[in-house]
Amino acid sequence: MSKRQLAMVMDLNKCIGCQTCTVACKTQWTNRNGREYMYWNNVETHPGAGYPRNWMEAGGGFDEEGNLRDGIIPDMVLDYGVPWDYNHDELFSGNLLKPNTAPEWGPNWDEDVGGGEYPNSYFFYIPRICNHCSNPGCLAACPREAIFKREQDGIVLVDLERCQGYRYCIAGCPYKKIYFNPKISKSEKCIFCFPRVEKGLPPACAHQCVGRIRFVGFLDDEEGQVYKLVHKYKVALPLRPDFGTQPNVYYVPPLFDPPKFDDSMAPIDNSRRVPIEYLELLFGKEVHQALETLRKEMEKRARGEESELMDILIAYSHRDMFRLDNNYYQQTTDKKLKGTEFFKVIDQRYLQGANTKRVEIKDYTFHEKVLPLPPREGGHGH
Amino acid sequence: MKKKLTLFAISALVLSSNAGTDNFNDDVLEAKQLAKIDAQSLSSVPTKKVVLYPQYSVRLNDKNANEIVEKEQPVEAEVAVGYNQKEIGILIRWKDETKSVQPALATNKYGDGVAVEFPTVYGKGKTLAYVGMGDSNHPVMVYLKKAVEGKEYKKSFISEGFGTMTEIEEKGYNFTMQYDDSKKEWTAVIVKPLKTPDLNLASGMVPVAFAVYDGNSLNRDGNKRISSWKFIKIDKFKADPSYVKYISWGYGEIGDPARGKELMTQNGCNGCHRYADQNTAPEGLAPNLSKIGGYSNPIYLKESIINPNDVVIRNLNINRHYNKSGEKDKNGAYPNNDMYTWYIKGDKGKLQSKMPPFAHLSEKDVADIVAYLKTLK
Repeated sequence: MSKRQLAMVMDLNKCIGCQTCTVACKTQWTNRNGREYMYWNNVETHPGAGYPRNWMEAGGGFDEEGNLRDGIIPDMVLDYGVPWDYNHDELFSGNLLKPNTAPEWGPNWDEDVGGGEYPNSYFFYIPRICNHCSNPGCLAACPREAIFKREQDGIVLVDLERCQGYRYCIAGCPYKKIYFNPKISKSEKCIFCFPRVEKGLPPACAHQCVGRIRFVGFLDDEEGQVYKLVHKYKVALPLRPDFGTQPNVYYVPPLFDPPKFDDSMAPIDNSRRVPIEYLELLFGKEVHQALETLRKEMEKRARGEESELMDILIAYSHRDMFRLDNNYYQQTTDKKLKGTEFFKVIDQRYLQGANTKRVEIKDYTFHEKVLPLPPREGGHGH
Repeated sequence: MKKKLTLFAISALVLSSNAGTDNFNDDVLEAKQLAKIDAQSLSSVPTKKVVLYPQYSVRLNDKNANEIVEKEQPVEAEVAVGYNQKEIGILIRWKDETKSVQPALATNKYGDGVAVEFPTVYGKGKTLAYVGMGDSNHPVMVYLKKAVEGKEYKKSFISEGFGTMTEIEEKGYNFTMQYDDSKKEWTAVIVKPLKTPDLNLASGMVPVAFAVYDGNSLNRDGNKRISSWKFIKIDKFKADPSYVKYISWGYGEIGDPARGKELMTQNGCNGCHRYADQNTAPEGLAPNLSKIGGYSNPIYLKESIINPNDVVIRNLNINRHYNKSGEKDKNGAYPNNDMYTWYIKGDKGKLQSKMPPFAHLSEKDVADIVAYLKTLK
């Protein structure tokens, strides 16, 4: 369907459920009315109902024969959750703080509930964005051909001019990662931050991730970490491959749940709290092989041997984690920006990893212009 | 609840007594000359009954809507047409027990709506377009009005088949819809110029079709109720007799439906099409004919049998079926399953229907098959 395919790998062993990615995305893209309830990026607790509620049971995707399956369209109040506000003004008259509506559900309603019985309870986090599938269910469902997959990188976008708000795409996406904007009566979704990507910056969610769990790059870039995790080591797996849409967001499955306790509260050797059946449901049968590879490579490293896979997963440097450009977009990017100070600085800032020196902030920045810094006299640097 | 049931029973009775009318004159809407065309003046024009049937040619992928569509009943509308030197006005009134307005804060609620469709090519020597959105040889104009909270939803489109509806701007037309709570009915009025660059309605016999959307039944897009082509008769202009003869073909008793059904099996129609109790063809391989008689005119059915290339219907979406035994591309994408496209692209991009022409059938055989198809509604 597309010449090249951008992909993202998320290492679930490092996700701490902090929602920084969620907020990064929300603050960047909730920039018009009707998007308030949407979380293009969300982080959900598994096992759990997720967001929208019970999305895994909501249909869509393709059946065994490759035909689009029927699906349902989640409800704003019951499945997504209406974004509520608080009665802040009433606090001054001695009233208690409460939401202005009685919420029925919301993203992370069941945060950290997880599964299993005490003392063997367990959970892990799964951050989810649009999978920019190779066989997108949303695109297949659209009766108006309003959804397209970009030739240059496989990013799946909605053509808002053609979209008439019929919402079959929402029924067709098995991940429920395309949303209806009731204010404009059109569908909207994660755009893989293509305006950033074209400038050589990774998507906001990946860039801001404090756990450094996300790797972004082209699937055919054999030098890239995404390629190595997905194709070379095969430790990154798509979510619910049985939905048949060929997702391009891959997950390194969780390996570090604590052992189970027996009746006397003693840990059982070599036991896992997360049922392997659950991981199989999420990531398919390949999960066994992926976990095996991860274990082997960790042991290798523990013995003091080299392990490229471990080095990748440690995520030393953003430069290696985000291989977007390599002049790929620069060839096609807006010639006007190329080589300008603006473009260079943005690029350098993106290239910085944890081990590089800070770039001097130039005076184009907001706070230098608008809020001149007081002269520093010891105390807290920044 | 009891009251509702009684109402439903009565309306079902009324329908069963009227839905079977099979007379060309019932499909002709007499336009009345009016000095000023508006809701008030149109209210005084005698109305004619138009029955709208659930659209079945294609099946969409909304599970909840599909469960409802199975049980959907036809809807009766009352239509009145008025015209003057410059404008034409149409009033459409139909019962809807549930007033639905698409809310400004909901993801899965739909508004009631109504659409009026005209072919851009019609008249002497022209064949009828496919009534659901037109086809590649017959572009149609569609005027759509929906009940949406907080904004006026009124759009005009040009369309050449499923998925091709493209919004265009037409100036100088009005489209309103009002709900009467006591009568539980919508009244919609469209007043538009008789002539625009895209559409000339100054003719003695103008095909027109109607669709209504019930928000409560999750209706939108192809999920709607639709009429067959009706014909607006405007006395001021002369209708071409050969065109009238052409469009009035096939009304009344034209053949033996039982023999028609047998002929369809003999000719292998059920190999691709689904209809009545014939459901062996894979879903989506060809248009579903289960309700084809309700929204198709007899002559259209005849044309479709003897010359399918005249009305090539685009698939709803060629990406709905993947060939899982095909070669995946390097990104893991499967090729589309060509089996489900309804046409092949010939030289110069001309679409050719995959259905072979059945021009070899005798006049009687075609009449019997059409007689049978007319009963499917």
